[in-house]
Amino acid sequence: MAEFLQFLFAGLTSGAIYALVALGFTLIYSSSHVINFAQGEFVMLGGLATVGLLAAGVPLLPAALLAIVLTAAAGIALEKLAIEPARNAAVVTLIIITIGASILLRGAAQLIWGKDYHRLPAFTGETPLEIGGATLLPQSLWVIGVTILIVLGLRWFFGRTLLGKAVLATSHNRLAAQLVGIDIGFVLLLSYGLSAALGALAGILIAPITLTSYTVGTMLGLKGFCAAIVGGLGSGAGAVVGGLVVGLAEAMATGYVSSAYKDAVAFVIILVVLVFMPSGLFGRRGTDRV
Amino acid sequence: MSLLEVRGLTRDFGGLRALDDLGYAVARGPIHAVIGPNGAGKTTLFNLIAGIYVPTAGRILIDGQDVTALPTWRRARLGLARSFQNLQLFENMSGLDNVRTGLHRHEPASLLGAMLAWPAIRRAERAGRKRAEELLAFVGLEAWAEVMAEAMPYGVLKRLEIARALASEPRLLMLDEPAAGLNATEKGEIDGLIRKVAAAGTTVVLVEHDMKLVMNLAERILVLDHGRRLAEGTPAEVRADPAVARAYLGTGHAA
Amino acid sequence: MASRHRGLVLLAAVVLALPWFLANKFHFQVAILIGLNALVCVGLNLLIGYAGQISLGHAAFFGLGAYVPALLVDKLRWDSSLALAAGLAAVGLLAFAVARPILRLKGHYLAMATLGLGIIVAIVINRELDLTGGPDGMSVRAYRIGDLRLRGEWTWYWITGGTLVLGVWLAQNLIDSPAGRALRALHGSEVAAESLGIDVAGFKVKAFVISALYAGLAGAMTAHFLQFVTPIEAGFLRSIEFVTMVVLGGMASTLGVVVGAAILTLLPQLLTGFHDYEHLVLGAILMGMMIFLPKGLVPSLAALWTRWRAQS
Repeated sequence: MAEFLQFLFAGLTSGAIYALVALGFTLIYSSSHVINFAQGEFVMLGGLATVGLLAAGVPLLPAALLAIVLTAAAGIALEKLAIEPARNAAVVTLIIITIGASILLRGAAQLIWGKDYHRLPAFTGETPLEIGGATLLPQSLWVIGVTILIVLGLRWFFGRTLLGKAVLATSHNRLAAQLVGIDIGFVLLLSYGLSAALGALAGILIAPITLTSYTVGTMLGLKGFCAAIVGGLGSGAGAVVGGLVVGLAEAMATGYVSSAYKDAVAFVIILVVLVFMPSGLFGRRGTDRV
Repeated sequence: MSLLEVRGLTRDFGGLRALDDLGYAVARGPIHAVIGPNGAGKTTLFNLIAGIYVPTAGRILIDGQDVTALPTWRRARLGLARSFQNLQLFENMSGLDNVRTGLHRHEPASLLGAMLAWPAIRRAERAGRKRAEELLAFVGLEAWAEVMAEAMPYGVLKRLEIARALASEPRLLMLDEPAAGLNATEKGEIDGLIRKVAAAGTTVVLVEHDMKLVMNLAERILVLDHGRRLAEGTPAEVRADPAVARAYLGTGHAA
Repeated sequence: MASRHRGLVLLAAVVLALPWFLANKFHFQVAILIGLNALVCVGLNLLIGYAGQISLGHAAFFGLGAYVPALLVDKLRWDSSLALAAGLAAVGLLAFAVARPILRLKGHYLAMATLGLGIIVAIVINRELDLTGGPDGMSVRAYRIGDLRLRGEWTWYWITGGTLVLGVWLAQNLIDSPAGRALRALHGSEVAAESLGIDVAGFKVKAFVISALYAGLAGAMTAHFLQFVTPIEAGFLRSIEFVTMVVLGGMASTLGVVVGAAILTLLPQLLTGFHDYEHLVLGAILMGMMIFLPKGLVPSLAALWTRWRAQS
């Protein structure tokens, strides 16, 4: 039981991070139908920028907030400079543009922060809590708690605010949204900025547990992408469930089977899901109209 | 034996019954038409016959052979060809290549043979090219052979789609709204083209909203309403049928 | 038809003439790697450019093509050619087995599935330390035909050049055939292709297997030439590199993808002087090219040329 709890805590922690990354993918995909392969780099930027600001003497909280703002600015720049000019390009072209952006961001991060791994101090100490024989890092509580707050916040934003509804409307039908006077350009900028901010937040939350470096974005991004697809691209609730599914499966497989193939778990899940449920767990099945 | 026969054909979409226990037979030879108000189930019928949709119940027979379980491409290889209401040309290909793709079911499609440039395939290529050029001429599109489909105007695409369907030398050609979106001159051209196709021995079934065109062209008409057969017969019989008039005037549905 | 052979003749001429411009071993090495990458891209282009199906996992086939024959020779002392045949058979079988379920997917879902497949293969190669040597890679014996060992830049230059020309010839024959039109047709409209009697699912599988075999062969040749292979060759970034070469040079343009392979193989070599800036510059170039020349380099330049000729 203690063992199971231990794996459960690990799974919930990484699952929450994947959920945040998946929410970022989902947000951008809903508003612009682009899969942003640079999403993982936002996670990396968030963590490293905080490390850099801390080193420059900024206290943790302002450093984290500033890092989130900086990453959001990078997201907005990506939309403005790279996605918008190529709006009518084919899917594969857009995929390569965002991959180019991810290589560029990684290159920039390597220049600024070097190739070493960096460590962020835990927000509230390192003394593990003991629950049912298993140990839980306080930082894991931060990860899970903040993720829950973010999910609730996003629900409120999309369900209750005019701006959130404008984003939703744009994702359902861009033309119709334009006709009722929604500024599509602004909605796009907002979703890229918000998505980058979510990524940065995930990066800051996880950095005290796993260390961070200019390369951490790739795997986190791809697993978040897995989570988004498991949840059926474009569904916010799906992204959260997908993140938890991937995180828990990974933790259980690592614990009970073998840790050598930890990184493969997410991709095995995605293949199984796609082969048997081609639109993900929550996606709608489309029929061609001819 | 009928060229095409459907028995008890039913198709539901969610809670909506788009086609309800329809029986329909198409004899070899003349031009047939399926008409009916919007949502009557005409295109659903086409998509069921072509194998795009799977029927909820019922059977489809081509020349007496039950094809209900066959995928679209196998039905096409039995001699079923069609055009699409919303045009499905290969935009990444030239006019000539679009038509040549229609020849597929008569050509050797071996990948390995193609890669090694086997003489049989090169020969078939030359013959196919010539046949496709003839077909483009048949529909009056010689001038568009080398133009990419994405750069063609609507009226040209309509005829190109028919040429592509004809290239498969179908036993049954199904045209889904061939005149939709065309002006009077173009409609006249399509009318003439369909007559020419039928005269050359291909059986044609068309779905069409333009009553004048249908009444002129078709020898047998099936009228659908709410997924059910309302009437069937010659243009004169259909026109005289009071149920048809009611359906088109939009009254009398209470019963 | 004429233009198809013109391109092939041009490529053959470049292959024949290039050695006069290559000053040293290193130049030859780069030229060979360009040829081997181009071979992958010619196959991948059949899948992406013509059949319109994206794959973000072809490095898996490249990597398997490199590792399987190398292991058979190393561990079981198989004959090189037999091992190569077995390696290609393994690549073909894996591709065939996964193709049907995966290629039912479209767009981003297909991208994700192929990506997942590629990453799983790369992780297996990375983790099976006893077999593959893990992340450090393994050395590969020189290819032997009887007592003859195929070694050295000069030998491999001609083997690569010859294979590339042959590979382009085969691909172009395919494109210009009923089967090739079927591939382009399912790219244009799957439902229309089906309605003309084209077995869409079957042709997707065939295109996938053929492109995997091109990648597998190039992988085997790369391993034998370098006499060394690491899991990086099977990794996600390598897959991305292949797709980028195809898109950069120009989808559905066989010569275009050769140019794309050349540029993307050369670029890091040219940037070695700016080692720290390599990724930054590479990323910027990728983005810029895709934003300003989305159809790819060769088709965009060809269109410019046609317009210029029409005006003058």
